[in-house]
Amino acid sequence: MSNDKLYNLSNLYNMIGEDKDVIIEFVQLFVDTSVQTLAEMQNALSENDFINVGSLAHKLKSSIDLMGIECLKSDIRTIERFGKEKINTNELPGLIDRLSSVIKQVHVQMNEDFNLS
Amino acid sequence: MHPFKIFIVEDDRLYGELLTFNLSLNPDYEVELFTCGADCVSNLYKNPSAISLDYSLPDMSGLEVLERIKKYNSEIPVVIVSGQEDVRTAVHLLKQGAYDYIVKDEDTKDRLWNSMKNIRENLQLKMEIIELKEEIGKKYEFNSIIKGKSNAIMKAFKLMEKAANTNITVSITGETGTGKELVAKAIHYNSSRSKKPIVTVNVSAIPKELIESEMFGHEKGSFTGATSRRIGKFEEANKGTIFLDEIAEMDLNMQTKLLRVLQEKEVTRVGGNQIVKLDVRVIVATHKNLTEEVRKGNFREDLYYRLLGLPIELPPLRERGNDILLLAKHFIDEFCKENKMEKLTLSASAHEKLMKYPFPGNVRELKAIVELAAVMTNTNTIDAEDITFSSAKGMTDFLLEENTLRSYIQKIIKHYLQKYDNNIVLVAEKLDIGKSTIYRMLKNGEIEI
Repeated sequence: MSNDKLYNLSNLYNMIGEDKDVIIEFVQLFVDTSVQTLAEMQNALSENDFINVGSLAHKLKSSIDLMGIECLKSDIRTIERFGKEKINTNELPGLIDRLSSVIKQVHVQMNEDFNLS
Repeated sequence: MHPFKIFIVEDDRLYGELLTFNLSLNPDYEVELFTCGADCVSNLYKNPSAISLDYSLPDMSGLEVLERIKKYNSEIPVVIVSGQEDVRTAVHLLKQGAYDYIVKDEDTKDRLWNSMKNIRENLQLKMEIIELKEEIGKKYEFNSIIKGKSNAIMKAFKLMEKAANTNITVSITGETGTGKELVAKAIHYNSSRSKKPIVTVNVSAIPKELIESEMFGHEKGSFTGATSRRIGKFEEANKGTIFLDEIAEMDLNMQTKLLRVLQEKEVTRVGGNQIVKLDVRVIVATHKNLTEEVRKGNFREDLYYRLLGLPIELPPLRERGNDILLLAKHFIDEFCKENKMEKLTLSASAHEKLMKYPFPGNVRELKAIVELAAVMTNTNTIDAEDITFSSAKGMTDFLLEENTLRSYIQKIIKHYLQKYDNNIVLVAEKLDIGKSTIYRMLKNGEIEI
C-alpha cells in the first residue's frame, strides 16, 4: 500500500485474515455504515443534539481505528468528547466537515483499490 | 455438548460484524449480533452461553444492560468490550459481575477469543461437575444402594424414603457394617439438598481436644497452631447435610456445645465473635444403644431427644434371611464387572455355608468374604470350600452366654424365624421339629414374632 493512502487495513487483516473476498465485504460494510453515520451526525448537529453527535462519533470511532484512518483518530475522539460534554460546540461543524471530507476521500480510494459496487 | 451460543452486542455494525465473523471461525460457536441493548435483553430467553457487550450503546448504558442480564441469569458470563480505557469503569463493571473488560484495540480479537475460550472451558468443567453429581445421585438411589427383600430391610427402606422427603433429623442405629453411612448418603442424595454437600464427621476418629475446632471452625491465632482461619464441618455442610457418625463417642462437654448449635441454628468459630447462620440437615449414627448411654449418664438426655428425630434401625445381616444370598450375588457380580472377570455363580453348598454363618461384621464382612471367594475359585462356580470365614465371633459369643438349654432353644428358633421372615412351616422344616412346637412356644410367650 502506498504512503499517500488515507487508510491502512493491517488491523483488519490481522483480525480476519488474508481472504480478499472477506476483506472486500468488510470494506464495503465500512463504506455503507460510515455514509449512514455521517448523515445522522450532520442531522443531529443541525438539531443541536450534541449528545447524539457524541454517541455517533463514539460509534464511528472503532470503525475509523479498524480501517487505520490515522488522520481522523484524534478528531473523532474530540467530536465524541465535545458532543457528550456539550463543550466547544461551536467547533463541531468544522470538525464534522473535515471528518466527512476525509471519509469521502477514503471511500474514493477504497473504490479504486477494491472496485466496490 | 450444546452449541456454545455467543451474543455480540455492538452498536458499530462494522465492528460487530467483524467480531461475529472472527468468533464464528470456531465451528463450536453459534454467534448472534445485536446492535442495541434492548434487542440483547429481549433475546435472553435463548440462553446465551456468553455475551460480548459494548459499553456504549445508543439506547442504554453497558452497565444497565449488564444489570438486566445478571437479573435474568446471573450465571451468564459478560465480557465488556469498550472503546475507552478507563480503569475505574472497568473495576466498577467487574465488581458488578462482568467476567472481563476488553479495550478495543489491535489485540481485541485475541483477547476476546481467549476470554470465550476460558468461559467455554469453565462451562465444560461446570457441566462435568453437574454430571458427576448426577452420577453420584444415581449411585445413591434407594434401590441401587439397598439390596434386599426381607421385612426388616423393607421397613428401613420405607423410613429412608420418609426421611428423604422431609428435613427431619435422622438417627441411624445398627451394628458395625450394616451400612449406616450409605443410608445417610442415600437420604441426602434423594433429598432436596442433594445439590449441596454432605459432610461426614466420624466423631470417634477426632481427638477430644480438636473436635470443637473441627466441627465449628476456628479463627487465625485462636490457639497454638491455628495459623489461618478455618471453617468447620457445620459451615462446610451449610444448605446440605452433616452426618455425625459414632455420635455416642462424643464427650459430654462437646455434647453441650453441639446442643447449643442445634438449638440456635448458628455457629461461632473457636476464637471468633462472628455468628454464622446455619441451615444444615443433621443425620447421626451409632452402633451403641443411645437410650442405654443416656441411662448410664454418658449421653445428654436433651441432646438425645433433639437428635432422635426419625430413628432408622438397620437390621444385622443374620436377621435378613435370604438377603444374604441376594447381596452375595450382587457383590460377586460387581466384583466380576470391576475386574473384567467372567460371571460367577454360587453353588448350593456355598449357599448353605453362607446362610449358616452369623456375619458379625454384617454386609461389609459378606462383601469381603464373597470377593475373596471370587478370587479363590478356579472355575465359574464358587463352592463352599472357596468361602473362608475370618470371624467366629458370633458363634463364640453365643456359646459363651452359658444359657439354659431351654433358653438356647428359644434363641435358635427366634433366630430362624427372623432369618426366614417368620415362615413357621419353613423354620420347622429347617430345624426338623414340629410346627406345633413353635406354635406352642409362641402361645406361651417364650418367643415372639
